[in-house]
Amino acid sequence: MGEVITFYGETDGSSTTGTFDLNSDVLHSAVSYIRPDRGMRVKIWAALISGAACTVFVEQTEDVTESTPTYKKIAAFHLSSEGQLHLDERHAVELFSRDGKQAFRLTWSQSAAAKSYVMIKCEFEYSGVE
Amino acid sequence: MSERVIDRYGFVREGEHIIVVLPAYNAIIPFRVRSVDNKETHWINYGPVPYQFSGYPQGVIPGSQSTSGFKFSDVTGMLTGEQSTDMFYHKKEDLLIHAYIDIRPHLFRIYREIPTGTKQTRYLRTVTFTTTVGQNTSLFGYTVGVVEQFFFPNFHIDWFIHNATNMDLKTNVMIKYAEYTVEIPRDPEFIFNLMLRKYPAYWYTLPIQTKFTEMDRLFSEIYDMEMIPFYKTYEKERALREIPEKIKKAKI
Repeated sequence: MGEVITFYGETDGSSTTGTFDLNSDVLHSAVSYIRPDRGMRVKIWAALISGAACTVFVEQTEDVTESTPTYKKIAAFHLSSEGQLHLDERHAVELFSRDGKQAFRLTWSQSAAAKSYVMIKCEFEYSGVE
Repeated sequence: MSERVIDRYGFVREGEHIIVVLPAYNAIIPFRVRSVDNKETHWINYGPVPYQFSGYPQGVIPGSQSTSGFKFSDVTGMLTGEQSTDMFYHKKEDLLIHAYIDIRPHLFRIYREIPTGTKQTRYLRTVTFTTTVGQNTSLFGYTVGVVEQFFFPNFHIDWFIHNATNMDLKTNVMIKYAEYTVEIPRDPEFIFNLMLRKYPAYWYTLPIQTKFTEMDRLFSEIYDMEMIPFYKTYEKERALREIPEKIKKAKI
């Protein structure tokens, strides 16, 4: 079992698309992306989306050190109407940092800008050294 | 490890033995645990790491940063002198501290200098680690998660934390420890048999690859004995001849 950290963020309520600033009880300041140490595997085990209808994308980049990193969408959580969506994944969304340059972030897309909230439960673990 | 030797917390039971291996010296120290002074009360709820970066509260390790060497300063507020800046430092010859230091979250690379100023971990006995961000020499020589450490009399250990993520992480340290009152067993044949693993003992290797004067002084001034070589299986006669001489003046 690795280190499980819960991150949370919210839409700004005025933009239909954007990138979540993620915070946590172990973070001193929010981050717009998460860059694990090299050799670390991150598993997103659960997500809770609440508030207005919203699609939350998990996006990953191969090189966050580039001036304009290229992100690709690797997963999406869709809250179709106001309320809440709780996803407790039996099969986690997995991300692996091969050389320390990989990173991921959460973005949102809404048909009408409104407040939505997201929480994800991530497990961080150095892989392959048990 | 046999439940006979260690308890459910990972500490050596009273009456059982500890073999500390000193690789730099090709030697061992055999201890018998006379008592566990803090039986069943093993926790130090330490709190944040005792290190402060400029512009951050104490205990926050900023993303892509490494601490300089630090010691676990006294959290009780009651210790004085050198112990106020290093709560594991002591000079009591019959005291051995066995600790499991849990620095959370488990996202850090944790390095040690044993003693302060001496980087013991070397790759192929050549390359020493650094904690410099982005340097290849920071890619080895570290521990993740819980670090087991024995604290001997008379020298300090420095700790380094490297945060290779981009997150400014708050830390928490929980320490599980045992204060053993120890003695050196006096029967040379028993010591030799411990060394051959004929009797159960808790084995701990102090990760040192280079000799240092504090260790020399530990034997000459604190324990008042000579180190016991890591005798080979077929060296029983030599061991039985030499061990009594090496431990005859031992204070404990």
